[in-house]
Order: sequence, then C-alpha cells, then structure tokens
Amino acid sequence: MHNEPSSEDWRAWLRRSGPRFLLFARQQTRTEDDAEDVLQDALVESWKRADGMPPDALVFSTIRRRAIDLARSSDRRHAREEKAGTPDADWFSPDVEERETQRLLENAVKSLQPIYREVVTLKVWGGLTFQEIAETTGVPLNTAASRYRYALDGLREILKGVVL
Amino acid sequence: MSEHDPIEDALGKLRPAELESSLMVRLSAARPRGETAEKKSPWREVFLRWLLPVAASACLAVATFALLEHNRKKEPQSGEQKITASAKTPLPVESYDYLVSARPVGIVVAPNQQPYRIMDVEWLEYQTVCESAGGPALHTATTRRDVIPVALELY
Repeated sequence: MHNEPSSEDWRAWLRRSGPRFLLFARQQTRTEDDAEDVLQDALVESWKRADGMPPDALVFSTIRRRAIDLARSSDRRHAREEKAGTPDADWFSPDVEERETQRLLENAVKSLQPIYREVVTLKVWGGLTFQEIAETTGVPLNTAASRYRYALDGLREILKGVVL
Repeated sequence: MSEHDPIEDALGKLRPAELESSLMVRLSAARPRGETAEKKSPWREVFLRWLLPVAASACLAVATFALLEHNRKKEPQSGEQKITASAKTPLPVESYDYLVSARPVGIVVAPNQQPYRIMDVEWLEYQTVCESAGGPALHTATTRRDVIPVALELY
C-alpha cells in the first residue's frame, strides 16, 4: 500500500522535476513517443516503490531500466522505427540571447556516445552524485567519474574554437 | 566538477525543455491512485484469499454430494431390473455329463518327476431347465472338450 499523492503534489512534482526526467528519457529511447511512454511508467512506478515522492536517483534508474526493457521488445521497436517523420525534439529550452551557442552545445551533447552522455546528463541536469550515477548506471564509482571526465574532454574537443 | 571549467559552466546554463502541455495533461492523469483504493480494502483481500476459495470448495462439495446421491437412488432400480432379468433366465433343473471320448495325446513329466498322461476328452452335457417352478421343461444338449492331465502311478 503506497502513499497516494494529491493532485497538486503530483503536478508540482511534474513541473519541478519533469523536464529533467524527460531529458534523460529522451536520451535513453529511440523516439519521442517511447520517451513519453517510458517517462510515464517510470514516474508512476518510482512513486509506488518509494511509497511517496521518490528520490531523483530512483526515478533516473527506473527510466533507464524501463528504456532497456522497451528496447528489448523488438516488435514495438520495429513499429516505432517504421513511423517516419518523427521530429527530433529540442532537449533544452530556447534561450533567445544565446540561441546559436545553445544549439552548438546541444548538438555537441547529442553527438556524445550514450555511455558518456548519460553520465553528463545525470551529473549536470540530474544533480546526482557520482555515487548515485554509479548506482543508476550499474558501473563502479571510478568508472562513472572517469566517463564524466572523458565526456567533458570530448565536448571540449567538439566545441574547440567556440566562444562559450 | 571544476568551478572554472567553461564547458561545465556552459552546460549548466542549459535548461531542460519544459513538458509540453499535452504531455503534462497525460502525466497528470497518470497520478498513482485507483490501485491504492483497492489495496486499502481489507475485505477485498479477505474475499479473494479466503471467502472465494471456500465458497468454490463448498459448491464443489455440494455438487459432488448431489451427484452421488442421485446415483445412489438409481441403484435399487438397477437391482430390481437385475432381479427381473434373472427371473426370466431359465433355472437349471437337472444336468448330466456323459463322457463321449477320451484320446491320449502324450505323456509329460512334471518337475517333481511325476508323469502325467495328457488326455483329450469330449463330454456331452445334457441339461434340463425350467423358466419357473412347475413350468414347462426345456432340454438342451451341448458338447464340451477339455484337455486334462491324468497322473500315472509309479511302481
């Protein structure tokens, strides 16, 4: 038996943390539809498992696991892939003043290998510690930290010459 | 995280995109409830775990008992039918067996060294039957063949 959230609590939680969770879900799935499905399932499951508002690390790890399960469902994956014309959603809110820089940064993040990108996302926008990142991604603590450093080096290389 | 890393600073300025209104509506509607109300009901668990199996077992027992009772009531009728049928079967009144022939087939020796002569014998079975006491008699004659061992005496 879990602690049922009030409608206001639930919506406030979605407004506050939903964007970060959606960003991670988008990176873990192949399409926008999959990302939204995974996000919804993970939010509900995490709340039930935590018997109340779950810690962010639990939600991120649930999103990751759900996305892996979904990817293993080959039938659904093929159906999604056949759905042509799905636009690649913007991962970040547009900033009018630094639109060009933001676009370069977003493209640079998207170009990272998934194992590096997820660590950057969990660290920078998820606000997790390296210990929590290690638990979420199922790797040793040192591996999580080194992947983060490699990711930053990669971004630095991609954005060489760009004034940030 | 280095405080002076321009890459980290730039990444930190990016804000994840807000949820679209359609997704917000969808997620709002997915708020955990429903199952909670069901799980909160202790009667539901009692019903599913105890009352339902007990009720199902009781129904099965009643059905079995009714079936057995139904069959039991039928049995005397079957017995009466058997008695009636046997009453109609002619009763043997007199029977004689006549040895018609006896033909030796061979001699065998048992494991205990006792020899036996194997005989092929034919009988005439003469029988008188009557459907009821004092009723008309019916005579039948049938033949019967047997192969029998006859012990031979040793001197």
